[in-house]
Amino acid sequence: MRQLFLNILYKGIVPFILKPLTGVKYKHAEVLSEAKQFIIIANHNSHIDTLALMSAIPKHKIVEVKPVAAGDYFGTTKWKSFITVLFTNALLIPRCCSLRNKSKDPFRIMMKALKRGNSLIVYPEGSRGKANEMQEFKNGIGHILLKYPHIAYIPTYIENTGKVLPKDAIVPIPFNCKVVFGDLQYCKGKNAKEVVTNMYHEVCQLKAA
Amino acid sequence: MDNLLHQIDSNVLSFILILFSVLSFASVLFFVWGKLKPEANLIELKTRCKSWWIMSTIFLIATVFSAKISYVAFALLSFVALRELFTILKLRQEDRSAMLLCYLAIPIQYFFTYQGYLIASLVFIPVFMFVALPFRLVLVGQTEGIIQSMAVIPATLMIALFGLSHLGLLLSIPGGRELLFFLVFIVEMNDVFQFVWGKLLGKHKILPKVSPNKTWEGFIGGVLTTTALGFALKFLTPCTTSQIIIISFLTANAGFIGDVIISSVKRDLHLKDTSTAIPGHGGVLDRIDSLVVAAPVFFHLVYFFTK
Repeated sequence: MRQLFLNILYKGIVPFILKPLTGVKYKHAEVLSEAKQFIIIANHNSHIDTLALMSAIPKHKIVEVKPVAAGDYFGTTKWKSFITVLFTNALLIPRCCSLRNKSKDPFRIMMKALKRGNSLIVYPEGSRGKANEMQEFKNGIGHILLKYPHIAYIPTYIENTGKVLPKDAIVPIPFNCKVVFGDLQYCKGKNAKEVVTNMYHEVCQLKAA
Repeated sequence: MDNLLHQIDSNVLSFILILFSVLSFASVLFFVWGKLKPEANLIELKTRCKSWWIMSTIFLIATVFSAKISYVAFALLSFVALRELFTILKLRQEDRSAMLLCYLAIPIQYFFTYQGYLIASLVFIPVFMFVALPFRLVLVGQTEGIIQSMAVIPATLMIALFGLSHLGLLLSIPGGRELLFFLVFIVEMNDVFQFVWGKLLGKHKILPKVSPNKTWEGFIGGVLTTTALGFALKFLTPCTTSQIIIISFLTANAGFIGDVIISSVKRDLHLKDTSTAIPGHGGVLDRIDSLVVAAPVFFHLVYFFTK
């Protein structure tokens, strides 16, 4: 039921809006069928990013894929978080960690989802930056990958979505956008910082390509 | 079905036959050539040929059945071209509101052409939008870099919307559909002829800094062949022989000018193509660059001669 709903949404309705606004072109999207479980690591410029990525996910996998979203932004009210989870299948995490309260520990929430077999979409920049300018990646995802080194991640570069709908804008303006997926990668590095730095460079390489 | 046959008269039918013969000839040529010389690299040409088949089919579907479909199709083409230009041009975030005005101008302009309001179609963009867009930028208030935006945005609209909307204007005059076929066919064939003559005889570069592949031989051969083609397709127009030769000659030249204008824009932006929308051709704008300049020239020449 949930699968049908998400597929109607992301294969039917969303492309109908996404196509004229972004004319989005996917490169190397085959990689999404290559692994059973994966973490998509992408740069983040706009709300469009999640819509574009979810539309690219193969039909039978769409329920399994959860975009990780900031609970302190999308989950401020019950109503808001209900809508976000319903339409994007999001996994809400608080960005400021309160490690004492176990149910609100972002690491725990993400690792639980990975244990259940979910794939994740993670924006390690933490928030939407300026169009086509990458901010530094935060370390969190590095800690998680070190604990689950067998789970593959897919570096992904998204271009121009920040022009279509930047952070403060209300009205979207059409631009051609591109989503470039990289090859499957596994956690490289001794500590979280190194893992994340490698990731950052992989995404940058896609930008240059 | 009866209604459908009624729509397609003998001139249109001859045009469709000519179009598909040319396409079939090209396909057979590349197939045989590939068989005879397997070492020749024809992948690029074959992809291009396949895209021509698809584009021709879409063009016919959009124009043969009903004029209403044609206007919607032209509006979509303008939309895609505008989006492509805004994507490659480096404009400021403060220009978003002016860009939105440009997108909103598309339905208005095509409404004017659909209604056949000749003067409104001709002045809406170069007069009204030419003032409205800079004023919108002024209202935003960010003056740093405003000169560039004030110049670039109206120019973008002239290319993507004003030039192309002349296809719609053509449809609004009597015998317009045949004239539209004539225009689009000779302009696109002009591109092909320039390419073929350039490959066969090309030696002397015509614009080495803008388009290193373009030669004088290609240009002259292309323009002359296109003029001859225009003469052969005279039955699609209400013009006399001398008129059609002048029109075809000038339209072919205008097509070349449109081509090199977009080429130089791409060169300044260090791009090869404006996007990857059409396999083998590049972006939509790469394909219609000659048309946006040739269409107004053609329209006004025909209008001048037949009124």
